[in-house]
Amino acid sequence: MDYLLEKYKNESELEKMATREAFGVAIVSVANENDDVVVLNADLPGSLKLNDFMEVFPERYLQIGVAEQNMASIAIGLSHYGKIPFITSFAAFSPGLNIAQIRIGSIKNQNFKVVSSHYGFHVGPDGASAQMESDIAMMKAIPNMVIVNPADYNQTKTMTHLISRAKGPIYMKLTREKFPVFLKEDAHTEIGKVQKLLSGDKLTVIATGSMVYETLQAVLEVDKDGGKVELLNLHTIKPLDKEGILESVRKTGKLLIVEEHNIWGGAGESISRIVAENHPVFTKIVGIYDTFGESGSHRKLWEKYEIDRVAIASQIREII
Amino acid sequence: MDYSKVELDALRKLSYELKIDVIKMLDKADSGHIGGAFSIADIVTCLYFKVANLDPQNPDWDERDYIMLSNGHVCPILYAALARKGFFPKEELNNLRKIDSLLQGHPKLGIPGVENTSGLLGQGLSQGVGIALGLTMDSKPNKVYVITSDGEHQEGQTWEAIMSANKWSLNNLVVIVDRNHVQIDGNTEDIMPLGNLKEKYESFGWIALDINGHDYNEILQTFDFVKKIDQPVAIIAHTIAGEDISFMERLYKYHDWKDDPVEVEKALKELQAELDKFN
Ligand SMILES: Cc1ncc(C[n+]2csc(CCOP(=O)(O)OP(=O)(O)O)c2C)c(N)n1
Repeated sequence: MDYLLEKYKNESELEKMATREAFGVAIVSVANENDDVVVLNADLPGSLKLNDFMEVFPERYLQIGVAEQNMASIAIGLSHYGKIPFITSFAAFSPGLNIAQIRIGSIKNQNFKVVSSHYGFHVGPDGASAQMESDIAMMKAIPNMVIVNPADYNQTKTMTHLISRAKGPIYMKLTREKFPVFLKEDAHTEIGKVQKLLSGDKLTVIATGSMVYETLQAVLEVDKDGGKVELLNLHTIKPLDKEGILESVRKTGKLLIVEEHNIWGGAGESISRIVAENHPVFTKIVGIYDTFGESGSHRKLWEKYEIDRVAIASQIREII
Repeated sequence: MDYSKVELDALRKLSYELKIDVIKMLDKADSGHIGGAFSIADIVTCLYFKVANLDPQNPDWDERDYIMLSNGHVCPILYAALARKGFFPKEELNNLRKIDSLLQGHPKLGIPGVENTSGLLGQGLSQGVGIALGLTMDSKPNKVYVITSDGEHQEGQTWEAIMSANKWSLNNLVVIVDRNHVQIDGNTEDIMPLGNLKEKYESFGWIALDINGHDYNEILQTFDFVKKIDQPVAIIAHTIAGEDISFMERLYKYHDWKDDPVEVEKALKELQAELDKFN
């Protein structure tokens, strides 16, 4: 359980990278390993950092234009033929606009990957319509769908390889903004297993994706000497690591979940169900409180909508 | 009927003023979409200041014409026009794309004068069909003008809307296509070829017209003409992305723009020079 880089506490010393940048790098090596991997995009290749892929594999890059539904169904055709298609866009457009096509491809567990950046408040100034607060809700309700939400650059590289090898429909979420790289490059990552980043016995905190480092800083602020708060990195939202989660809450007896998603339909609700069914404990969710966003920098939006480290820290303080 | 030089010049002058507003807005906002905002600027100017029936004091006026922006990312030009027309104070332009402000990065219902929430391409024309159907059911004479981009004609929904306007012979619906040939990652014909849009609209049962989207006399005459047509009409406006800014024209990389002080100054200088010609 040795996941954190040595200097993980010192934010200023950590490199800052967006997870979409990791995808851009990793998809090239994934394609080198497997000739069947193809990438589809809907007029946003720069935003998904596909420039290297386009250069190295022009014949395996399909630019579909502004046509996300067409993109998803073409991918499902490609996968039926035997290719491993990755469809790429912003989360607001894919799965936001092609959820029905994705659902159809999931019925027979077809092998295609949905990779989407700019989730949550990440489009910032572009405003509510291109932001995405409901993608987990849409995707998790589709049977067979796997959802991964890596926490940093290093984990995204690993995850890109893992999802290319795993069969079936998989959704991977990426950030636009640069965040600290705080996980070890060779940290053991397994789809469907939580990672215990910090140990504690008074409160379990589960964070996912963009919220993991933000939550880590909040924990360090409140639990200065350590040992009170247990922090789990939920890089896989579906399937949930039932045993890993229950093991922790059995010990701590309290649970806080942090996500950059509407509290209606996010990861928090599904975790709460598992806990309620098996070992009910006090549970609270920090997320977007059933509201759309607005224009503004993502940092300011996190602050205003109370999902930044200050808001998380005050929740932790209140609970322990 | 030809329009007088005085009349045309007044509109042209206004369009330069709006473009100057847009450059200043994007400079303050640090980013925004400019290529399409400038290609459609002349048509936006004509619609808001000559063609459409609007009351800025009463944005929900029952008798108004509806102007909709389906390609919402080019909203800086819309906001500049709405402010100048008097829908909201001009000072709001300074807060474009900022937190806690009126003017969102994409148009949203609730901003005075805005008739559709956009940001996801390909949905505006269907919403326009909805409004046009409502007006038809109630036998009302208002017109619906939907501005669209060429890029969003790659979305299937645009063609679904085109088909439905024909089914109900919506003679109150006018679509303007900003045919500037660029989108985010390249030229439209390289990304996903659109071909001859006039012929495509015609084959879907519409009256379609190719016009020069920067020729004021032609624009105004076209809008006069479409008022007499008893069918949905598509105006394919052939335009230049980034029109009037020498270093931006026709280049897809100016689809959106991270403001750069040198470019801002250069753009403002070029627009001011055009404006000075009217004095
Ligand atoms: C459904 C959807 N998919 C993708 C986008 C992202 N996007 C914003 S503008 C744009 C290019 C569209 O082309 P066009 O409107 O012709 O560009 P312009 O003329 O303004 O350069 C894209 C793909 C979007 N806004 N909506």
